[in-house]
Amino acid sequence: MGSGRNSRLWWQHKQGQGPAPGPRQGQCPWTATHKKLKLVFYILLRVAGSAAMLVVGAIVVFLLLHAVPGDAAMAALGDAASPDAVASFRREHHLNDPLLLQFWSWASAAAHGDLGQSISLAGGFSTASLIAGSLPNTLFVGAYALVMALAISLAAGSIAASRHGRIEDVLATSAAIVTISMPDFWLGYVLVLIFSLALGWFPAYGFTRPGDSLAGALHSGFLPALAIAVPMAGIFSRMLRATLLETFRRAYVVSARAMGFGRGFIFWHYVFRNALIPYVTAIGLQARYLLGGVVVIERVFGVPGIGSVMVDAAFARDYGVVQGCAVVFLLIVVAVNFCVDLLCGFLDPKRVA
Amino acid sequence: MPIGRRTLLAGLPLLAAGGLRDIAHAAAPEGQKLRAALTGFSVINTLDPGKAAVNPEFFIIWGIYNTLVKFTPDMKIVGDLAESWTNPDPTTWEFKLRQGVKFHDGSELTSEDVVFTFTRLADPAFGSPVRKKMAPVTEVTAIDPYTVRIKTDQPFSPLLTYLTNTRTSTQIVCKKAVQSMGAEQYGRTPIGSGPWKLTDWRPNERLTFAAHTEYFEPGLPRCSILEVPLIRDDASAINALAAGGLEFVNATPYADSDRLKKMSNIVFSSMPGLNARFTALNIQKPPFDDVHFRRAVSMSINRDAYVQAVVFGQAVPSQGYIPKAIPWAYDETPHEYAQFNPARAKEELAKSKYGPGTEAIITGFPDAWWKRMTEVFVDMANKVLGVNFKVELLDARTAFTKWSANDGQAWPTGWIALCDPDEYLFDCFHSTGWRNFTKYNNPEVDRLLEAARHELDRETKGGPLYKQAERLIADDCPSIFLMNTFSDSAVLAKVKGFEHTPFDGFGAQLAPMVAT
Repeated sequence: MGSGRNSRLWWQHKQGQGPAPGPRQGQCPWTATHKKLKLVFYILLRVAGSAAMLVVGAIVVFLLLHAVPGDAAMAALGDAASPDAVASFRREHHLNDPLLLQFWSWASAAAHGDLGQSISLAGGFSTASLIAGSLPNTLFVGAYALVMALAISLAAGSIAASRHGRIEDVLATSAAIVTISMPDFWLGYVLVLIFSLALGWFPAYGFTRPGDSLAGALHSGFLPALAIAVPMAGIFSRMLRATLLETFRRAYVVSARAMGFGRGFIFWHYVFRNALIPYVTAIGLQARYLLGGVVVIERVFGVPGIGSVMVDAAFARDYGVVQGCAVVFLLIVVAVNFCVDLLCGFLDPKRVA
Repeated sequence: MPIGRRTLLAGLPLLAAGGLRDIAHAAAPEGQKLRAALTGFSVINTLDPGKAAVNPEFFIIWGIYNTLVKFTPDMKIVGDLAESWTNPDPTTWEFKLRQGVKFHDGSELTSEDVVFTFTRLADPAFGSPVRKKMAPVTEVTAIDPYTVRIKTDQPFSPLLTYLTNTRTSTQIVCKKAVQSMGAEQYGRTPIGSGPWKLTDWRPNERLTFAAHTEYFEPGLPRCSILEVPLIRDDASAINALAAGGLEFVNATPYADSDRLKKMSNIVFSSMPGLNARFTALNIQKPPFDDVHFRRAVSMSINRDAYVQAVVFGQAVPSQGYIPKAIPWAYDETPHEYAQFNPARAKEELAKSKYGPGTEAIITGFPDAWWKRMTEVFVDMANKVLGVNFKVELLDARTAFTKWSANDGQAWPTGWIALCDPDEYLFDCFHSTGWRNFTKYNNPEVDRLLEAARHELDRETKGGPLYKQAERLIADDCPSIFLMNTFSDSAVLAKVKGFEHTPFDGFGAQLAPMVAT
């Protein structure tokens, strides 16, 4: 989403892309207060923007769901349902009410923290309990995958950039392209084939919740996390390599070389940190994919994640559950965007003058 | 003979092993866990049999409850909760109940629970999906704590089928538990008399059960814990089984059957299931309003090749509705218009109002082999007759809604989990049948099906009536019969006690199963 990018620029701007990052002299207290006010205003603006995004998102999801044919009554009552059973189901769950009224009653309950009950996916279970049962798994596997992807890409990206044009670079770049273009379910099955069926190191299916056993979760979550991490690492390392190379050519790096600093010193102090900003932004964008985009991997490995709940609910036309999941997704995306912006501002070397 | 130190030492492990084996034997029912996956589904809304509607709900319900009677694997009906039954007259059924049957809460199952179960199903306020199906039952009374009398308005031969542990909703519920919990809660924390007691339900993920220690069949269930993961992706279930993470998978993808047959640690089991796959036609609208055109299309389908192309040979090519698994009503003699015969197909086309180039939209589903089911049908008809059929794919639920409203021209589709010939023929082709969406009406067929419904001697007298009716239907071709797909299951080779049934009784099959 554009807002994340723009606000990053805003941060850079605020922290003064002034003429030269020289020591500031005689900073007057008025400017400091002004800056604080600006920050408060900025945060308020972000919160308001996020709230608006939530409302618009919820409406869009609601309308999309109701635009597709089929309804919850069919899903819950099956093909043997008599017309009067369907009619009473629809009446009982207010499916005949005008759309606007349906949305309003959902939204007003949701505003009070009540996401309602499932009607056709797991009848009677509260949407909140479905989310609470699946979101931690998604977050765990997502974080696990992110750590793997970071580790792989930091190494691969840095090596590729510092050995630009040599065999290491060619290998890393080709590997990145291969991993990005692999279909995720295919990679999942290949991992199962090798690490479960042939070697027997990891279970082929099923996930132990981190709450039940952390070691079990790390073990059973390894293959799904790897299947998610590999293509992400490809994207990240390409991004890191490109920005590192770009930074290597910057004037201040050239002048640092001219001053005779060592390669390692230049890399760590002049190149790496600057190159991290676009990299972190790319990670922020991918974090969204970790929520809903990994349903295929969840299915292959049997991770009971929120993406699967949302997709199954959509198939069962369980509108309330889909809406609830969508709101949680939106909240998380907003939070991630916010964190990425903060982190980028923090990483910017010009900030510490 | 002196016993040396060596002999003693050598004997020790044996002794230990013997001793341990005894303990292990005694402890086996305590510690053993059975993991049996339900594949292709994850939706379970209720475990109250009276409210259940979709297959996965029943798969689980069969393990939690019992019914008055049950099917054997070769589709004979024997007693379950009922020890015996008689017909004092053709509209009265008297069931003698087994004594000492305990519900999961320890209370005894008596005729009061049976009466309560049926009264609830008949109550319009309760709104059971099977209320209409059970309408011929007029009265259910308890004669004494172990005798139940069921009266029907007319002689009603499918009754026993409707009392089996299949998709019937007549599983006996615990009156006391239903009344104290209320119907909705009972659907989430069910109390039955079956081998498995629900202990944990993680929606959309898995259900866990403990053995019902007071189960009336001695020695069952053989495992003490049952875990049922709900696996949407059936290929993943096969992987889990192959890696030893599961003991049993209830259904396997047709595409994987050859691969499964080759796996040494897995026993693949396959038999014709209880289903009918066909192309339903809208006989009220062109071009399928012309019987000659319908016959031409039916004879243009090479069913042997069709079965190979669509489900990799995992089906019986069929010429009728009633599946092979119901032997007494299954017709072996060839039906004239259900045979592949391109020359005769063209003759019939010439007799019809419509000729080559006739257009029609054939509406199928996009999922897995269902897509091929539509595509191959269209391709065969187009090639043989030179007609211009086109494929339209809608999601299964939308397609079903259109079919049931007779809105469209033709639907390659099917019925599954129907256990009685009456369900296949009366419901689908009698002029008043509720599945007869296209309003097929043949008075002679109606007469035969009514006679079959009233004939309590089913095997010798009812069977021929159904076969005769089916032949008349096949001549009229309101549906083009295609195939009767196999029920495929896979179980680890080290698991004993699995018995395959054509009705895929998942929950009811698990009690004797144990890994050795």
